[in-house]
Amino acid sequence: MPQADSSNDQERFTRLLLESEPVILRSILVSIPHRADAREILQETAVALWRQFDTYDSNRPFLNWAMGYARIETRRFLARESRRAQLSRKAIEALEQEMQGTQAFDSGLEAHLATCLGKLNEKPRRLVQGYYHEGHSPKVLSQRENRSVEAIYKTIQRARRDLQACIERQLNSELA
Amino acid sequence: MTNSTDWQDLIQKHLDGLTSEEEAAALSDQIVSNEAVRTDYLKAARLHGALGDETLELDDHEPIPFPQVEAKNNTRIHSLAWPRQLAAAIIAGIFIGLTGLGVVWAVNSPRIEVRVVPVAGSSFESMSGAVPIGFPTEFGRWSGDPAEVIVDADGNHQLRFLKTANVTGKPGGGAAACNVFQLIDLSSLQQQWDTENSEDQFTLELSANFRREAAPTDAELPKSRLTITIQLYQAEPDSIGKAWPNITREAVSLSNKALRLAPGETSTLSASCLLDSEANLALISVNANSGSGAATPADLGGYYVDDVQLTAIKQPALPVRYVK
Repeated sequence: MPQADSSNDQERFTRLLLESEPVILRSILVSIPHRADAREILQETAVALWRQFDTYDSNRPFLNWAMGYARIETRRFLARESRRAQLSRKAIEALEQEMQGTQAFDSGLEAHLATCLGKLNEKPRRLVQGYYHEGHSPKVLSQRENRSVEAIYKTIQRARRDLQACIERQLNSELA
Repeated sequence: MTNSTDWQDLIQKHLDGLTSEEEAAALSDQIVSNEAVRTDYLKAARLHGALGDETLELDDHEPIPFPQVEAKNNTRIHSLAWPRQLAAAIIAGIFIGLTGLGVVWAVNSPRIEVRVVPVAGSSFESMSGAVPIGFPTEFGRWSGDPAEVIVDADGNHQLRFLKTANVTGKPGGGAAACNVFQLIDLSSLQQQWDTENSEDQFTLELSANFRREAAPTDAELPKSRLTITIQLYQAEPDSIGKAWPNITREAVSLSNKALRLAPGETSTLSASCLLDSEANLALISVNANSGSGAATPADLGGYYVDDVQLTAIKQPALPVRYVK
């Protein structure tokens, strides 16, 4: 490959990957919810994509091409790692098939998540921010909040359920 | 476990990595056979993924102050968002001393060590004016595309990205980004930690503080973004630029992170990668990308970076594995 083409290739790959990365990561998180594990799979996917970029047909959507590799890397991860209890392969396949069916909810997430976060009470909102946005462990949050780790987990889980319900209410009100 | 409330609880537990093997197996069976559980799981997992999106900011909420550790050499260690277990350890950390490479903390696990790997001109305080053009050929020197070190009203030095360019200078190459690079010698670190014979895991984390100000070219750059990249090689320092960018395929390890900033915003980016024993040098870069993919240079205006830090982490068995 001539030098100029390689340089353009790298620019193009970087651009395509950066555009697709959040969608790929969210998709991996469905099968592998632990964020460190999901990021590891994402990194392996990115390297695989770069190594195979010569074979990418630019007439096809990059995201679809990339998602195939993400699925492969997810299965490889499941085959080699046993750090945490994971869903079965059959369950992950069922989820992958079903993903198309939750498009309305996905678009609702984009449109209403910030609004619904704003409706959470101060304490759960602070914990959601600490857990997700700042990346603190429940142990750190428990020390900061002077509460048990279990209480922190329960509050975060309740907050997620409240957010899910809020987003669905917003979606339903749009349809009404 | 028969009603939907119980399955909701289990779904939530699973998203936090708290399910046992038996519970995960039971949940898997339900996901396969029960459409309602499958849909509930997907929605909950999608929400979990969206909340983890680093671009998501919570509305009208002040960030929770995060303790920072001040080093003896006045090098400030910023929060290590990745991995978060390590961040927790650093908060609880106890300073124990200095080595030739930088500052070492013993953290709440006695086997975790964090070192500051020196980056020449990490805060740009010792620099001023234009950054040398072209790819660096030796360790400890910033160079790259058109950029300059400016002094702000508080006397703080910062690197300002001026214009996108093609650092190789070869015709036909893309000019979508303004890259500024530095080569870091890792041989001393590898030797001191004996990475080749150690069973511990070693990672390098690169972080930098980015800032964007309003500039006349803002309207032309709606998709601009800021990026940090770390790549590890087994190579001579002067060979990287000669083979750039094809040599990227030969990187022992690499990682990058990007973000978009609106005028007036600041943010810290960090990217981590495995420190493999094969690697003898790190190529770190900070860049502002026009996001246009253009082949012709573009004026950037208001993009700044400061406080570029490289941190080495030695840890026994964190649940993180990076690609080679």
